[in-house]
Amino acid sequence: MLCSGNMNDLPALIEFVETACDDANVRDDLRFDLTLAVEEAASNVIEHGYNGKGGALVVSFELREGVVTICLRDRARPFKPGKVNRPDTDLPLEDRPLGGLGLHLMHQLMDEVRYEILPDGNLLTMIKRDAA
Amino acid sequence: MEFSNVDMKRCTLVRLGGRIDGSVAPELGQQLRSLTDAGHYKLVVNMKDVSYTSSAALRELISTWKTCRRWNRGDMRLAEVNPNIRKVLDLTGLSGQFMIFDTEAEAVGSF
Repeated sequence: MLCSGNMNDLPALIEFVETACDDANVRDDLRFDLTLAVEEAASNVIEHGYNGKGGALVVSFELREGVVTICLRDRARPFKPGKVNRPDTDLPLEDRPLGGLGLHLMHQLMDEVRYEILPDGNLLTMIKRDAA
Repeated sequence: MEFSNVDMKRCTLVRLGGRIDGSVAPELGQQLRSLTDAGHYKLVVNMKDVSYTSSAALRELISTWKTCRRWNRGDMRLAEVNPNIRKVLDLTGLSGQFMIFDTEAEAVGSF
């Protein structure tokens, strides 16, 4: 699926993942997890990669031998996950910054999250095993 | 996203519904802010009809929770959270921070 890299893309993107899950007979209990992981990943690209100005974002979904592989390819500035502070979920809410929850959720929901910086953007690969 | 609110005796009850993704979360924030701006700091948010939510909506809930609790003037409590939403709250460590009630009546009665 090709998106324009805006927050308004999210409903269609969510529908794309839900339909892909249905078509591929992905386990029911994973439908929500995969959808959420994709929204969080796409939101990060839209918000931080493109700074809300939009840009190409291609999302692919594949199920092979029970393994779901979801790729997000963008043309945004290089994303370095090490530079993002992970939220301390044990910290009292009063002391917690508001950001960083999206990345945290992606890592919690998926078995593997890989970031690659390409010459003209980024490739994010998220993997979920035993998905069918 | 559906949003409605009712003034109860001791608190304001907010009923949310539908999908709250990143494209509509700012609208949720705005609606909640209009309540706190008007001095409603004791809120119950009923999540029963929310089918989907992401971190964008959680950020708005955390922000409202903080506004409500400032100077001990109130609180924001959740009611009837469905399993998927509960899972997101668990994974982000928020289920131990927000007060969550099984029923709307219990949440309203807690104020």
